[in-house]
Formats: sequence, structure tokens, C-alpha cells
Amino acid sequence: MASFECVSLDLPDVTGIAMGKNGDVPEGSVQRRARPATWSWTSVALTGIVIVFLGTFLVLPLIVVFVEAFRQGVRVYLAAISDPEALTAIKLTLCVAVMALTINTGFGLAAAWCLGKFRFPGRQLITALIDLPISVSPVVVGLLLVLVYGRHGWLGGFLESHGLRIIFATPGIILATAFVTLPLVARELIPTMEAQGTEQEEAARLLGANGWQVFFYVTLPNIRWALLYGVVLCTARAMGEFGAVSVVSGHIRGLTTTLPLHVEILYNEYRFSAAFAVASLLTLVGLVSLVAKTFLERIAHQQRIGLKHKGA
Amino acid sequence: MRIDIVGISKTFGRFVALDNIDLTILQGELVALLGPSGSGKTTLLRIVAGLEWPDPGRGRLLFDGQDVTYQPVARRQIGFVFQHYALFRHMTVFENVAFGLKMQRRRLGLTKQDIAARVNDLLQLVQLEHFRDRYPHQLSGGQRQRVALARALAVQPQVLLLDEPFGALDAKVRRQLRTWLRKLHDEIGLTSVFVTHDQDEALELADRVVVMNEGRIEQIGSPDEVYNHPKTPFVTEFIGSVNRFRGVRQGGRILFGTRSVSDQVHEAVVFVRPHEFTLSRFACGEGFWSRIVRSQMVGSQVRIWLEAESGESFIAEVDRSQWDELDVSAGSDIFVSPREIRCFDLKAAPVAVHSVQKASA
Repeated sequence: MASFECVSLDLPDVTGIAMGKNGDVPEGSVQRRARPATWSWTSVALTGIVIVFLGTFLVLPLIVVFVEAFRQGVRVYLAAISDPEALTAIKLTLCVAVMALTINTGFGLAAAWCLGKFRFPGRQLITALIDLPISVSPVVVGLLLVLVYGRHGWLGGFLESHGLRIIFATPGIILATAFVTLPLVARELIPTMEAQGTEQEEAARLLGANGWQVFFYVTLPNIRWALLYGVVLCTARAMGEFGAVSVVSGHIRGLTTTLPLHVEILYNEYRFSAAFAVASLLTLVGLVSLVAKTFLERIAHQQRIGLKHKGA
Repeated sequence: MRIDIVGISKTFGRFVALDNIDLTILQGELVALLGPSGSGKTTLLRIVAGLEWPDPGRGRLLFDGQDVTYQPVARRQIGFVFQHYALFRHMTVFENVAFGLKMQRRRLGLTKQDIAARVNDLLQLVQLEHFRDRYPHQLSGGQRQRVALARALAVQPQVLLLDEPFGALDAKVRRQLRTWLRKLHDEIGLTSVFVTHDQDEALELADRVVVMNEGRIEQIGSPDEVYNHPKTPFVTEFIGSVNRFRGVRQGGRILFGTRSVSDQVHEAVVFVRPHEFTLSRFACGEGFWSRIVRSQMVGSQVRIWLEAESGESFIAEVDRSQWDELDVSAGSDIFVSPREIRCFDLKAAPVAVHSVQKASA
């Protein structure tokens, strides 16, 4: 995540923006400055450790996923991902991700707006609460949802009498996913909104814009990169969520299994190639969002620095 | 438009930003709100703009006699220039200036062509017609300033408010823009209020200067009045450079600078501007002896650091020719007689005892 601590290091970026260059040139100059002048034994040893660590813990497993997926050939791979159950899982996952994203974008915008632009008592508390889903284990989140919405939960009786089913059904999965990914959009937007202050909005109001006009013409364009970044992060996390979803889904095959749950089922049935084939889809989603994330992070970060230093 | 500020107070928690402010700004006037940071000048400006409100029931704001204290910002028809301009960074210069017109298009009954024509006129006025497709980050500080001004003027406001309009610019651009803004004001005759902490700016630009301190108005007057006839010790010290002396009362006269002052409880404070001293090698008229600490040429003037008999340090400025005539140097004693003093009695309310007293030279 883009953090403010890097600001001083990235100062060359700012001049880059000011002179209207694109971001690549100053990026290089930052690296040049950060690189030690000579390779000492310490730096070689430390770099070695990092490479070995990343290799064994990240790169190797990543390769294994794809190797295992194609072990029995392309045909088995294609069969595994076009299996009706797999297709349902894909559809469900996409549906859940879209719903969770919609909820969290709405919530994130609202939360960031009021936390980033206003000072009021209890603001710190709300900021801390937004982070709660990150610090609580997803399994606990799932259990909490069951306790509240399950058949014997607090709202269970009420829901059942109205013919609504949440736990062991799609709404439950959406709820669990949305809960776990709740902070992702908001956390990206809050620092951006804070950095931008309220002057542009005030200027717009003075020029006769109403609330919605201020939002659509001024606020939204200013946060668009940070918002997109949060959306990418949220989507990736929503598609991969396992713990909370696992508790509330009930593992009803072909009905309430998302992609991660489907992988688990296949794996438990010793259908390794199929499991890895489906897993490779999730991995691809992850890789794509990683690229998108890196790209967006850079833009959002530059915007934030530009704001901090130029006040335009 | 005439603005009446009637008994306005504003507090932020425990901090009193404005304390019972009364002020009238006449149609077509250019008024400066001058004061140190935290004096409440920006808060007052924001209340006039409608970005803040006075404490409930504590004061009213009238535009041409109509109460607008709680009128929403968007309906006040105010042009506001922010200290850091607050330009819309994702819009071009043209779009920035057009924004207000676009928002009020229906109300004003404007077509796209009307807007474009009006924006082009404004860009011409602020001499930025060649920069219409640039983005704010591609402009210099002075150019951004002028975009902000054009944007504020676009909606044909009744009042123009400027918050530290030149604060973020370097000295040379600042001076140019100052002259330019005064000219612009004389041309369009818009009622304007600007906030500044820079006394030169206030004195040079404004028709009237409102000196503020700790949420209160210290003095309202023409630049000449506040400079030459300051009403309070604060105004005296804040505007122009000035020396401060302790004074004691002695038979209806105020003594300062002499040795006898140093061991008495002082009852008054006396101000003398550096250029209001006459220096001489012999005692003549009213004055006191002082020792020269050092001297420094400043253009055609000489600035002299002195220490009075009372032990107080002060600065005097004389013409270079005069200094050469004196033929003295650091360490020598010299007789100093002030031509004009401003004296404030510390026991009574801070009202001038003799605002200006001629001493025989």
C-alpha cells in the first residue's frame, strides 16, 4: 500500500510531475539513489536471503500450481474448468464478488467522505472499527454471521417466518465476503480524501454547485485512481475469500460452492489435477490484479504526493 | 454591494476566533483584513462567504440590508479566491473558469456558446487566453492565481473575497499581481475584501484597512490613518517597524530613554519609528544620550543600532549624507531626539495619550 513514509524518498517524482514528465523517469532516479554504491558482502548476503525466501515461499508454489494443473494434459485441464460444478462455482464467485464490490464501494465512499473530510468526536473509533474485519479471523466472522442470521440465531426466527434464507445460501456468502472485504475500498480512499482537503469542494459550492454536482464533478474525479485501486484490491480478495465463506456456505455442491470451496472439495477427493486447474484460475485473477494494483498504486500515489506538495 | 457585519462572534471549542465584530464594507470598496495568524481574519472572510457560520444568535450578516447570515453558500453570489487557489486539478484552465457558469447554466439561461464567449473574455482579462487548454499543474503560481480569479469572476459575483491572495507567490510576482489586482478593481469596481498578514500589501492595495488581533478589530482606517495615527499599541507595533520604550509620567510629561526611567515602574509605552529620530553630537532640545552599537548601509539610508541610557536597544535610520556629516562610529555617544512619538498609557485603557506629539528638534 502506498504509504506516506516514502514521501521524502520519492521527492524526485514531484519535480517530475511539476515539469510535466511522465512517471517513469523519476522512478528510475529513485532506484538509482537507493542502490548502494558498491556491493558489500552484507548486501550480497541479504539479497541472497531475500531471493531464496521469495523463491521458496512465493515463486515455487506459484509454478507448482500451473505445473500440477497441466500434469495430466490440457484436455483434463479444460475438462476440469468446464465441469458444470466448476462453472456454477465460477458464476457464484463472480456474482458474490460483484455484489460485495457494490456494497463496499458504496460504503467505502460514504465512510471515506465523512472520515476524510470532517472532524467529529468518535472519528478515531470509527476509523478503528473499519479495520476490524482485517484483524478478526475470517472463520470467526463466518461463525458470527451464523449466530446472528442462522436458523437458531438472533434473527433466524424472524427471517424464517418471512421465508428468507441467508445462511447456507447465496446471501450469506455475499454477506460474509462483503464483511471481510469491507475495509479495502474505504482504507484506500480515506488518506486520499484527507490529503485533498475540502477546498475544492468549497470552491465548487461557492460557484453554485449542489451536493451531487460537487460529488460528481469534483470529488469523484479527484479520487478515481484511489477508488479503482481499492476496487481491484477488493475484487481479488472477494474472489479468493475462503474462511468466512466456508462457514456460511454449507458446501452444497453446485449451489453454494465458490471457487475456493470448489478447489477444497476437489482436493479432498484426491482429484489433484482438477483442483489445481481451478486453483490456477484463482491464481490468474490474483496475478492480473497484482499488475493492475501496481499500476494504479503508482498513479494514486503520485497524485497524493502532487497534492501534498503543490496544493493546487 | 454593501456588507454589514453586526456583532458577529465565533468560537471553535474554547478558542474564540471572533469576538463581537462590527464592520461595514461599502459598495465598491477594496478592504484589507490585516492581522497576524490566529487573529480571526480568515474566519471572518469565511463567514462572509458562507463557508462558516457565526455562533448561533451571536451576530448577523447583511448584504445590502438583507439578512444572509444563514443563506446557503451557493445562493450568495460570491467570488472567492482561496489561498492555495483550490483549482480543479483534473480540469483545464477553460473548464475551471467555465465551472460556475456550467453549474448555474439553467438559472442564468446560458447556452454553450454564451459560456465559451464569457470564459474567453475572462481569460483575456487575466491574460491567460493562450493557456486555456493547460491543466493547473502546468501553470506557474502567478498564473494559477489568475485562473482562480477568473473562475471567481465568471459567475459575476456581487462581492469578491480573497484569502491571502498573494501568500504563496514569490516577492516579484507578488508585487506585479498586487498592482494588477488594484487596476482590475478600479476597472470593474467590485466590492472586494482580502485577507493578509502582510502590512505592505494591505497598505498599498486597500482603500481601508481593518487591523485585527485575537478575534477583535483593533482599528479601521485608511492606510494613512493606520500607519500614521495608530490607535492602539498593537497597531503601532504591527504596522511598520517601530521602537518600543518604557515610559514614566513626570509632571504631565512622559519621560523615556533617559537613565531615570530604568529604575522606575513604567507606566506608559512609547513608540518611535526608526526614521523619526534626529541625531546630533550635542545635546539640543528634548532627547537622550545613546551609545552607537553598530551601523549598516541600507541603500541610501543608514541603519544604526543604539543603546539608550535606560539600557533599551533601538534602531534609528537617517539619510546617508546626514550620517556622513555626523562623522561618528560605533562606540561613540550621540544625542537622539525623536521628532514624533506615539505614547500609550498602560494604566488607562489602551488609548493614545498623545497620538502624535511634536518634540522640539
